[in-house]
Amino acid sequence: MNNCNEYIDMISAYADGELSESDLIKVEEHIGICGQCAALLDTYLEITAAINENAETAPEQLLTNVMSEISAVTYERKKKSPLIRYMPVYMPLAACIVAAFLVWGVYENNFANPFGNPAADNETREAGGGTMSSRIAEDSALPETSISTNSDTASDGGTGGEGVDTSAGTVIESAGIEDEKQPGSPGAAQAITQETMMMDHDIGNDNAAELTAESALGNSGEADSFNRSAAPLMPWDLVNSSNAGNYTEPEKLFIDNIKNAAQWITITGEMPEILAAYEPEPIDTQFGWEALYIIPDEDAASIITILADNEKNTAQSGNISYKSETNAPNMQSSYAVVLYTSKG
Amino acid sequence: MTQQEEKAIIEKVIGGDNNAFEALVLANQNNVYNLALKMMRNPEDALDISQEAFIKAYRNLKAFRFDARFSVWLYRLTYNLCIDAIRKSKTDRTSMAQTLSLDVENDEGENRAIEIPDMRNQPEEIAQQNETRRMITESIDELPKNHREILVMREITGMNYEEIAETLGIESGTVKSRLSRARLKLAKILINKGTIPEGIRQKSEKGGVAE
Repeated sequence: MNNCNEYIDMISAYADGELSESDLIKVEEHIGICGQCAALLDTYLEITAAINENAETAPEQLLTNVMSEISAVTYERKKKSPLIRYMPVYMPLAACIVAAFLVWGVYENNFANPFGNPAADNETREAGGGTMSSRIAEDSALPETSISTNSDTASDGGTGGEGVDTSAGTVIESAGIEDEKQPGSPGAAQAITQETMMMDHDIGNDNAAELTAESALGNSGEADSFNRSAAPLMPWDLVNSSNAGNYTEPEKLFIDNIKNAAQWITITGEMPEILAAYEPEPIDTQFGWEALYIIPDEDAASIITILADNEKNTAQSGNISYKSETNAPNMQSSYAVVLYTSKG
Repeated sequence: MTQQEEKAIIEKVIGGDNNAFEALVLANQNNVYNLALKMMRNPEDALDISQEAFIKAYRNLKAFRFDARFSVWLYRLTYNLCIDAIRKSKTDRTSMAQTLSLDVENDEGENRAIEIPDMRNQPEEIAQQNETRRMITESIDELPKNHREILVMREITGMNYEEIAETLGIESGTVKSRLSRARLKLAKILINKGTIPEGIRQKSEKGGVAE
């Protein structure tokens, strides 16, 4: 009976069916001669029976709530046109652009220089490729100039990234169309200027986003008179945010997705084609991102390769390891999160 | 549900068939809910967490690699959500005070009349057995958190030692000894309450309950 203690853990494991064949025989032999240990085993089996018997049935609303929650999203692999795919993203964006147009129109009509200090602006914006105010002047006078200026910006851009290229492309295109429509009309010139400004502004902000992330250049668009939200919050800042208590449920989920990822990729500018193969996760957050993708690790590697090969794109990637203290639920299913925004 | 069946369903869901997910909910909801219920100790939180676990599983389904059972992965999500929620709310009632009061009860328990429920046959004894089992289940709530969680994880979800070890981030050997301690401690609580025969009292005391 003295050796009962050595059976204690084994009896528990016996109840769980987790004993090796040799230990199993030892325990069975022992409980055959030891009433106390046999009673202990009976108790354990009774505990198991009790727990199973008294297990609750999940409330009905569990299934209904889950199914209705997920019905808002579907995993679809069908490729749609990017415009349709991002319609929900574009609609508010379009609204912002329209609003900005209106605001800008007022500015343009009432103030000679909306930036207050053109000299400072010249200086600080040079790195981003051309100054905004100098381009306003050029653009106002000659829409064609904006085309070449923007083209230069695109090729000068270097670190400016895909966003610059895209924006520039759009400007060229829309300026051209407007130009053909009503070449002589002052209204057309105004429209072109406004649109060009919008795009230029985006370029400025792209740079700002890169600055935040890379601290590479010396300028940012923070002095802009546009009332726009700040640059996107970077994943490495989001996971360390002390603000968690104030987040909405979608924001918490967003951060969860980031937290559980093995890798982060943030992309500013034009949507890389490779992302079109993935369905963005639903997001409704104030973090400044337009889309979040969950990408299997192996795909993440190829995405980074593609981005690295294509200097037009801006990508930062970082590795995190899941904190073991919270026992990563996806230790065996690591994935990368791609955060995308067309602009900073 | 076999691992193959799980896989087939998951592939359907990823392929765009949301309704297929229902089968995964139905197959696992009771275990998930009961795990959450025992962890959180209130039905509202348990329901919230269960829902969150399924939704999170759905959202992360693409990242699921099939090298574990889906159910186990889901239990881990559930467990982690519970841990987060407990940390946030700091309402975990498992405290040192409970452990201390247990010791006090031990002394009192010496004089307690021991009723030995005969868990056999007659209808009134079946009712008694039901009552006993209800008390056993309730007593689990009195266990310290690390004992409670490992016990319900094992008893409710049926995860094996290896799976529990991975979930809790501990060694498989620790799972074995911690489960043993948890059961001994529960047995001790039940003896002190007179829920189970004293016959095993000496045994459970001999084994010690401090981890």
